[in-house]
Formats: sequence, structure tokens, C-alpha cells
Amino acid sequence: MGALSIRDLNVWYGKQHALKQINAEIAQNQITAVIGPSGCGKSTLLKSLNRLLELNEQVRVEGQVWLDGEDIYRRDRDVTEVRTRIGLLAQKPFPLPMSIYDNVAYGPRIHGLARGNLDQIVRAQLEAVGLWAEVRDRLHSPATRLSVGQQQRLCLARTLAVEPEVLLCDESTASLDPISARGIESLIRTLRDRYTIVLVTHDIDQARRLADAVLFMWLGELVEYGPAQRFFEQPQEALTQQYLTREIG
Amino acid sequence: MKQVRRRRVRRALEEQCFLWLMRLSLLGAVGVLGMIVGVICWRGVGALSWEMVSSLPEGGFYLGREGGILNALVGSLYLACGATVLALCLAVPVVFYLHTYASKGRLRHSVRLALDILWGIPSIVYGAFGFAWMVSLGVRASLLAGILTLALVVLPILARTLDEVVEMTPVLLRESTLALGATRLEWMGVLLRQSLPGLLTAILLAFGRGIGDAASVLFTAGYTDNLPDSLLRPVASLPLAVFFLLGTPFPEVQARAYAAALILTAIVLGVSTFAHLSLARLGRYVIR
Ligand SMILES: Nc1ncnc2c1ncn2[C@@H]1O[C@H](COP(=O)(O)OP(=O)(O)OP(=O)(O)O)[C@@H](O)[C@H]1O
Ligand SMILES: [Mg+2]
Repeated sequence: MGALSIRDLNVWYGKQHALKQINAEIAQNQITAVIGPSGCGKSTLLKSLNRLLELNEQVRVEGQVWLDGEDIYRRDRDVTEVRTRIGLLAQKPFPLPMSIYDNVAYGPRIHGLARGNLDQIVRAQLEAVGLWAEVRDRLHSPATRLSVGQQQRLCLARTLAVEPEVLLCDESTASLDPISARGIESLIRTLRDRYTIVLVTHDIDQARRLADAVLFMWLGELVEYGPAQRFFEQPQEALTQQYLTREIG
Repeated sequence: MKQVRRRRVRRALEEQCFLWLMRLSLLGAVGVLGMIVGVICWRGVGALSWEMVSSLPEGGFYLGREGGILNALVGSLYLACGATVLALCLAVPVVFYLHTYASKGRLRHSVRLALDILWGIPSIVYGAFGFAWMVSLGVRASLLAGILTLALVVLPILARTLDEVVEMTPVLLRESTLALGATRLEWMGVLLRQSLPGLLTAILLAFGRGIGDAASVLFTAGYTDNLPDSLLRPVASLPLAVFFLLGTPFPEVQARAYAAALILTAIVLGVSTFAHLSLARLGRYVIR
């Protein structure tokens, strides 16, 4: 469950060709890191995987992304179902304008997953992200009262409560302090067994710590994609070598 | 060295200059408003009595004898509340539609332009428009006609204010809601929660404008010395009460006009205070 297959994916913002002919198979229950310099199209790639990209008015997407044998861009595909199965954790935590409890309960409520035990779901998800002990006495206070690191964990709990198969993380630790960042990082590591994780990061060391496979992009093109060990120890492309040794980028 | 010090002195002077200019503007604005309220109070407070707000005009009210303006007080509340609610029923779906389903900017742009133009049209024109409709339909001046016309007057205010508020919602809020698999309707619900304080402000502006407008209700709602008892009968309003009372030659009746204006001001003040108190509650969950 949750294997992704990107086929001939092209994206344009107006006239700008932002993703050029991307092809990649993303294995399930693995962490795939997407790295590359700023502006190379990492976020664009990630958002094209759960069709958030099309919220942008002038964007054009061509190609296919297959999730478990079905194209998510197929014409009659229900986009809410796609986004339910492929969750996103953004760069900056962005709680919904509700209480802590309702933030986590929102997904299960709209998707009818609760079946009367909403309290249990909320508790389980908050425990899973290590937030339960900190918020158990103030579940009904506004989510914005939490610290940024707590908010990011809340957003993770909110995303997981929808029971996705794939988890996309767009530089999800970039706006956090080092300790919270490590917290999120180890959380993501524990999630590997149950989810397919695609993680965009600026931080090569983070990719080294977390990734099973690495996808390197440059100016909208996929330069190199392979298992993490080979990628870091014997990069095949000259561009990758230069990027890893920080000669470019 | 000397140059640096001179520059510093000049910048400090500059700052002082602008500071005082701003204070002067503030004084001007607050001063004029204060004067208006002051005059209303000074000339109206004498005529203000419990009788004024609790009873209907008696036979000789407009000549200075017994009675009050309860008819206009109640009428104005009916008119303003009715119009605000009606305009709200239109404005909320329109604005939310423009911001969720009609994602193409062009439609939003045209509607915005239309609303801006409507905002600028004098309310007497709305009154005449409403009256023309009534004549062609054979309807008399009535509470219903007044509410309908007044709703048109406050609709652009409500819709445009709400539009600005919704426009301010962070893009990422929409992304993170839709990323959870929400439909656009469900996103609208989240957007509504986020916009509640702004919605309240919009309602407040519309109500304030609605209750104070005389020209639009002059032909459409008419005037009566009785309490409103039916949607299809004429109804009195405070602005018109002020107008009629001021038009008499008797000083003691003119004082009643000021008292009526004072009551009108007090209502707006009361509603606005109440709104600001509830703003804190409504804004509790808003993401900034
Ligand atoms: N909404 C947009 N409209 C137009 N162009 C865009 C838009 N979003 C991104 N782009 C362009 O597409 C290219 C890829 O952007 P993207 O955000 O995917 O880069 P990124 O790799 O995520 O960069 P960063 O590491 O800085 O987040 C950039 O050249 C950018 O200018
Ligand atoms: Mg990015």
C-alpha cells in the first residue's frame, strides 16, 4: 500500500517549465528524500503528488502519478480521496482555526472515521506525536497557543488522523528549533514502517540520517535517484558529486 | 563628526514635525466628531425622557405636547435588523463562492468592481429605485419595501468588507485544510470560522449605515405614528423622525429631534460596544 509511480511528469507555471519529464518509482514503507538547491522544484514535485498544485491558478500539469495501480490525475478521480490517502506536512505549522482537540478531530469528522470514539482517536494521535502529556489539560484551548514545535507536532497528528498511506513532508523541520526538529525527525523515522514517506529537505545531513532513497533535482530535472547508501557513497552523476561536496547549490 | 551630529538633529526634528502633524490630524478628526456628539447631547438631553423612548406620539406631539418616538425607535430597529440579515444572506454566499469555487480571478474582480460602484451610489437613488418597483407592482410604502431597499443599500458594504476579510486569510490555511481531503464546501466552513471576527465587523458597519439612512426609507417605508404591526404596512424610522421634528418651527420640538438623534447614536454605540466585547470570544481561534 502506498507505492507511488511518477511517469513523465511535467509542470508549468504559466510559461515557466518547473518540472521536466520526471520519472521515478517511490517504494512503499521507505523514506525517500528529495534534495536539491532552492528553486529546483522540490515543493512543486511534492505538491504534484497530492494534487495540491492545481490550487494554483496558472499551473499546468502533464503526465501521471500512479498510486497503487491507479493514476491520481485520471479525469474522474475524486481529488479529496487522493488527498486523504496522500497527506502533507507543510514547512510551517498551520493549525486550523479551532481548538487543539478539533484540529485532530477535523479529518476523522469530515471523513466519517470516528464512529463514536473520537476521543480515543484524538488521544491516540496526540500520543503518537508525543503531545498528549503536554496538552491533555487544555485540549479545548486554541491551537495557536501552542509553541511552534508543538504546533508542528499537532499538524502531524492532524494529518495522521486521516489515516493516509503516503506522507509528504516539505521541509517540515526547517522552521523549528534544533530540539523540536530532532523530535519531528525521530517521529518521522518511527512512521517509516507504516507509511510511504517522501520528504523534501535542504539539509543533506538530515537526508543522510533519515533516507532510504534519495532523489536529487536540479533546475526542474531529476538528476539522480537511487538508494541512499549508493547515492551518498558512490554518486553516479558529476552534478550530484559537486552538490554533495557543496561545490554547487 | 559634526556632519553626523547635524544629521542626527535634523532627523530628530523631522520626526517631531511629523509626530505633531499626526497629532493635529487626530485632534481635528476627534474634535469634529466630538463637537457633533456634543451638540446633539447639549440640545437633546433636555428633551430626553423616559416618555420619549417608551410612548407613541400623541395627537399634538409635533406641536410640543405629550408623546414619544417609540414608533420610530422600534421601526428603525426592524428596518436595520431586517436589512442587515437579508443582506447577510446574500453577501455570505456570494463572497464565499467567489473565494472558493470561482477560483478564476476575473469574476471576483468584476463583482468587486460592481460592489464598489454600488457602494458609491447615493441612497436616495436606491429609494427611487425601490419606489419605482413598488409603483409598478402596485405596493404601498411598507416595512417590507423598506427592508428590501435598505438591504440593497447595505449589501455592498457588507459584501465588500467581508471580501476584504476573506482575502486576508493565509493561503497556507486553505492548503492545509484541503490537504486533509476536505471538499471545497468543508473548506468554506473553516474559512467561515477564520473570518468570524471580520464578519462581525462587516455586520456592524452595515447595521450602522442601515439604521442611520433616511433617504432610502423615505419613499419606501413611509412613516406612521403607530408601531409596526405588519410587513405590508408603513413603518416609522429614527432618521425620518429627526427630519420631521427638525422641520417644525418650535424650539421645544426641535430639541426632540436632537433627543431622537441622541437615541440613534446610543443604539449604534451600544451595538458596537457589544460587538467589540464579543470580538474577543469570536477571535479566540483565529489564525494570524
Ligand atoms: N506559484 C508559483 N508561480 C510561479 N512560479 C512558481 C510558483 N511556485 C514556484 N514557482 C517557480 O517554480 C520553481 C520551483 O519552485 P519550488 O517552490 O518547487 O522550488 P523548491 O525546490 O521547493 O525551492 P525551495 O527549496 O526554495 O523551497 C521556481 O523557479 C519557482 O520560482
Ligand atoms: Mg520548497
